[in-house]
Amino acid sequence: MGPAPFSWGKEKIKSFYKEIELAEVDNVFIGDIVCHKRHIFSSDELKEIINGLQNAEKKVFVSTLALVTNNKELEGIEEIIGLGDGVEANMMGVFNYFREKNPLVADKKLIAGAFLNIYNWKAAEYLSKFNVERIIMPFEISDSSIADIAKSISSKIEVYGWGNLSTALSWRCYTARSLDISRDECKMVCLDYPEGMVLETVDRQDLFIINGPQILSAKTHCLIEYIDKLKDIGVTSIRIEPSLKNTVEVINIYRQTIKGERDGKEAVEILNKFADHGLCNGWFLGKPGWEYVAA
Amino acid sequence: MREASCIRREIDFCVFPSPLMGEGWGEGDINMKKIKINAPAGNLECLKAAVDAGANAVYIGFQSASNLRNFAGINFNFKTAKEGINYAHHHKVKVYVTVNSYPQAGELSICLKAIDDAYKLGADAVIVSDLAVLEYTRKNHPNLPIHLSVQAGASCLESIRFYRDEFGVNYFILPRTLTLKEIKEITASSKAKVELFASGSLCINYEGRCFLSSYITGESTNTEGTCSRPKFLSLEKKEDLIAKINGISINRFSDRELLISPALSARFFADESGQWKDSFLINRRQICKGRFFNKTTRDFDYPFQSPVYLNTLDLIPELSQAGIDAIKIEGRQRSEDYVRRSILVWKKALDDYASNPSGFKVASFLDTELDIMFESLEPSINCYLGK
Repeated sequence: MGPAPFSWGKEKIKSFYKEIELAEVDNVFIGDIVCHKRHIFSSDELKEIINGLQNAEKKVFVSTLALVTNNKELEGIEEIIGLGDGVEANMMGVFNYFREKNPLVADKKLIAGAFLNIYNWKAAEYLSKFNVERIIMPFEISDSSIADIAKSISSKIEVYGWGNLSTALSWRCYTARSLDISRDECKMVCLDYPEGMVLETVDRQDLFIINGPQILSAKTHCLIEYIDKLKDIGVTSIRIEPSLKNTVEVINIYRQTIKGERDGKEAVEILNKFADHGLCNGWFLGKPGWEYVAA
Repeated sequence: MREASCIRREIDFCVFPSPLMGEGWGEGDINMKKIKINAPAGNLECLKAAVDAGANAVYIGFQSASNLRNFAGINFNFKTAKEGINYAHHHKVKVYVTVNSYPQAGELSICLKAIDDAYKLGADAVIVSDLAVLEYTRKNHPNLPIHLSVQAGASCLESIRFYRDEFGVNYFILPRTLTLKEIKEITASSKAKVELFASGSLCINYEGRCFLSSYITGESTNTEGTCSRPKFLSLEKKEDLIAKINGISINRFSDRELLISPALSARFFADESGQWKDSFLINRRQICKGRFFNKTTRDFDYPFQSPVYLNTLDLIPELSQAGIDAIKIEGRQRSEDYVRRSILVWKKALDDYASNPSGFKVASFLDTELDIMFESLEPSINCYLGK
């Protein structure tokens, strides 16, 4: 399970992870990737959530910001990277802590996040010197490139299986901009939009979702019909993006399909109902990301 | 913990220099150096124009998917690159070869060949993003300087330190995601040489992490070096004029908007002759500069970036005080005339600043000159002001 993509506030996040304690997921990523202001928990509060998940036999990884632009944000990362079982690095600077055996990350596992842009097996192999346990594939990478990486390296390979995908990230907060306020003075107005703001084209097609400084696809990326193919090409884990609605149901459907208890065609029909703006998976098939290609 | 980590970051840079540490990592009076001009060249004519106009360095790319301006009709082959590099070196101008794609399966060899060719040609540096290409370059050409491409997105001290320690990179092209204050934080603590985009098209998203073009067209900025290529642009005239990229609507222009400029209006409606793909639309074809309905606020506006171009002439004093090594003029896809005029504008402005720093003011005709080149776009510096 990936980190919560939107700004939910403390109470929503706490109750969400309480629910996830009972869900059939192996690994939970926690933290905010897109905005340093969303680091709203103290270390103790975050540790409490992590402990709850660990007691429920989940491995918990702290996801770092993808775009870090100053020392204050680096210090924010340093405060949390040691709290879980490992760290999902979304910017290269995090690797310094592991190379230098910084006590902050002693005995922690290192996972290379999707924002590191690992597009080929030689780049993936390079990361092996840092003992990277798992590499999350870039959003736009195709099945053949994933296969090429997976067959060449020993690290585990994870792909995004369900959720609204990151199509861009900026220093500018698009949520604040849409309300005519600056990012500096945002007062975390994103808390009022726990599912973001949907943008539609002039011909009324839902295209993007504004999520603070991030632009997400409005369509939900879905690889449920390709579970067997994912296994064949060497993918070892599938990432589900959290949502305020239906997350546990989505997890269950993926789990059943992975176990072979449910057919992919049947599963996608159910999942389609959970996708408010339609499904997509084009990137995985080497096509424009917004397209959906049935298996 | 906060204070300690801050101190450590500075100590690391001073006490443990990389064995590959080059010029730019030592102590020095960075504030007094004159900013250099790094100019784009999409072909030999542009390169010669850049050299003749007074650029300090020219950056080029090969005709392959090795770089992020992989457009038909531009870039260099081995022979033209050789002639260009010889010409530039004869005039004591440096040439940097851009090899900043993120190659996917089967494409890595294209980038590695570009690195080898750049080395054979005597390029002064290569501009790189991908970890595999960085590793190959450092292992096989240990004396070939590497500039970290903006696509790699090294936006903070720890990331800069990573690339320095791993690959001996001592020159960083900073993302357009940093405020002036943050740029100063980097230059003050690292002594890294940094280059900054100062003029030209403006990417509002974090470089290397924008997949808008890829999402709509299937052609990726990172791997194919293209962003909403003009071939995907189409127009549909209903009540208003609707601009589409690969069939997805990204803007709507009312008759009233078109009437603002009779010249633009005339060009719009000349689409049957193929003339509609003019600069007005070309400058608005990127999805980040599209106009959409926000279903929450009910506004129809530019949610990401209104159509502007980057013009940081006014920031020359701040850039100089920040210790920027060079400004980068965007536009390898642009004409010889654009390259020459842009350099002349920047050279004049930088000379004016050098001769009178305290009384510096941008001559208005320089702004006008840039405005003319980016007709129909407003100038902007907001990305460096955090707005």
